[in-house]
Amino acid sequence: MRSSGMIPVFYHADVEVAKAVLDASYKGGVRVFEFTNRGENAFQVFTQLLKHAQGYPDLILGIGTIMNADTTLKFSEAGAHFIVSPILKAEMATACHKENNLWIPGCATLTEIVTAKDLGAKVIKIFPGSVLGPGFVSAIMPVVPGLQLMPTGGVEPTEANLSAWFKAGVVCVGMGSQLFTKEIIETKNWARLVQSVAEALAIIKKIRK
Amino acid sequence: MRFSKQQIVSGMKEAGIVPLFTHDKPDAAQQVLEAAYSGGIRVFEFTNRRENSFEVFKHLLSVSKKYPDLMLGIGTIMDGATTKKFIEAGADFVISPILKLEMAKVCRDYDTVWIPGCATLTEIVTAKDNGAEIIKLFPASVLGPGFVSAIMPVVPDLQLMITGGVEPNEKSISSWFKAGAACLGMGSQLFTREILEQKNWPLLKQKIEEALKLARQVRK
Repeated sequence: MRSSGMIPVFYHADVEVAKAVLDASYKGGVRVFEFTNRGENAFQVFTQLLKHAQGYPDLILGIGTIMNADTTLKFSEAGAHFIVSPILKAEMATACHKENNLWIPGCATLTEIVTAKDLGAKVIKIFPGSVLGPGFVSAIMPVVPGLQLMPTGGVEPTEANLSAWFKAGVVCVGMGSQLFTKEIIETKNWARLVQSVAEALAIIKKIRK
Repeated sequence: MRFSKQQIVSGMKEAGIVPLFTHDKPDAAQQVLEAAYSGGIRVFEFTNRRENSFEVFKHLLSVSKKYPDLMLGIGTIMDGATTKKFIEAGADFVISPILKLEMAKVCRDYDTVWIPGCATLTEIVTAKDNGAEIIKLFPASVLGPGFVSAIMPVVPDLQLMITGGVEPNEKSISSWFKAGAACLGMGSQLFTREILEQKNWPLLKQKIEEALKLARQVRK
């Protein structure tokens, strides 16, 4: 996560679209991908994506929008490489610990962040990122050294926005609708998506130099 | 115990400004504390952010014996054991950037003021229910004065200490007090890198006098 700098966050009910988006992201340079559990058949789509991802041995494929321990276990057992949640739910920490899986809880205050850290979270998602802003990250980093934060929600694939987050001290960013725009998905413009992903990763590489 | 809880709470409200500072050199920390005191500071927060902060804090406590009206507390405390350690050494109050209930218990056992850091109304009310007389709002610049003015009518009698990005100018100071803040914590904006590097204590004293004066004026 740290070396790639950007984790795409995506959901689609159609497995063919999901596969195409994963393919395009991989082609654009993504090696860590978060599929989100936001629809009725997310589990089915995710298991097929996992199978599809066997064609990419260096791709890390995790699941997001997980809200409880049962769902954590279900996706872990299916083969999710990591578990992301928009909330801090302690029972998920226990489940991830049991499965020896990476747990990335979503937090919005320093109290939640420190609680997550104490429960074993190595990477913590800052959500909703755009509400808290890079100023939140730069204010808390000196107080709790060693935090590994991943803002998600409203992160934009522009140099100004990405540079504000990385300067504030984040390890990586999650990017969803700003990258997988409605237009790209509707027109299935995968060539354009490869380009957008590659551009975002290039900006991050440049900023972190 | 040099001060009662009530004295600490009213001392903070009267001062309006509580400087927060850390340094790993006892001499430099002492110089900053003394410059702040000469500028009119009577409540000072040293922060536990370095390896040797406990040793430096003990040094400051011994220095503070010269100033019987100076309240010297410790900040950036994250757990119960560290709370206990600093209270036993003589900290007049304990501040944290987070809400950690085990710290409330230790402070209650020692009858010491506990100031937890909160960032939502739920955290604030939980802190209040656990005995916090003053609650630190952190990081304040992210929440803004609008957050304070929105919650004050909902939970009357809140005593909020605003910390994180408060600036020593009239606009910033007045916006927080107008919103209903009890006092303002001020760190890097007051103890600028430039002042510290040049050891420009007269300038520090002057900045502190100005900030305290502004805090008095806007609350008149």
